[in-house]
Amino acid sequence: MPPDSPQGALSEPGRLRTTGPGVEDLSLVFPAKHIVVRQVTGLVLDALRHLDLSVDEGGTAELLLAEVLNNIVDHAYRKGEGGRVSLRMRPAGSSVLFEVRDGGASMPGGELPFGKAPELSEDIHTLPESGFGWFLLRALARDIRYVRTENENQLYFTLCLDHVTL
Amino acid sequence: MELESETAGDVTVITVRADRIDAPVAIRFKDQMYDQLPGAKGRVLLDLKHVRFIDSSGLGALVAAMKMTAPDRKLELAGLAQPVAKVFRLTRLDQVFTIHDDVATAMGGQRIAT
Repeated sequence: MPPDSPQGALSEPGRLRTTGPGVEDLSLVFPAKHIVVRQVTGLVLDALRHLDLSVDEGGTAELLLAEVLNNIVDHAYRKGEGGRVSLRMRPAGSSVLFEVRDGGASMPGGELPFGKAPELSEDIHTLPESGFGWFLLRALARDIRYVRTENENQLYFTLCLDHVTL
Repeated sequence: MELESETAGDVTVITVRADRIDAPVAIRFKDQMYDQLPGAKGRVLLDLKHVRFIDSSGLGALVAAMKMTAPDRKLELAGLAQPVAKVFRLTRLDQVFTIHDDVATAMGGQRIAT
């Protein structure tokens, strides 16, 4: 059972690689718990600080990671199980590439949810309370790819930083 | 996650004293709204000025809160920070909630005793 806090960036300096002036890869392993996901997104944002993100870009990165990782907490593993999740981040040009892996259950149907915009009708009582997550992910990330191996879910996605050239 | 409630005339202002409405606290937020809302008559204004981050869990909790005030009242929101306003815009929930710049604007210049 992995420990309760993320390992990688802070406790294992050997896993950080510098690939350019002030820009670093990041590799983290952590248990699937909501409160740990908050810490992980904080670490990723810290690592991205070198790139001088705008408020908007920082918000996008934070939301994207929260949606991907909380989905694993809620659906890949059983409630409270705290199974293993790994996240890798690599800058590439004016984008940041992410790879998230977990050993939990496969996506239903072996595919990513379509994530269409939730139906907002006139009747307040039929407003959806869920389904926003996949819609937001598709709106904020590019090149989203899901791979299911025998034991693992792998999600790849890209955050584009239009103003940055590395 | 703390909700502070104040009534001025026919408006109840509920201030969210947290900087995040997200997965770890969304259920607690909903429970606290369930506690606060029945006592609120008239307009209900949720002051989100301290909130810097909201995810899909937080959105779901706010929709649930909206359902609690309906059909008599439409839940009003104020003080949305840029990242929070963006999430409402993307999901088009900014067309479902009444959104004000801040509590003062929502009150139309009436002051609340603090």
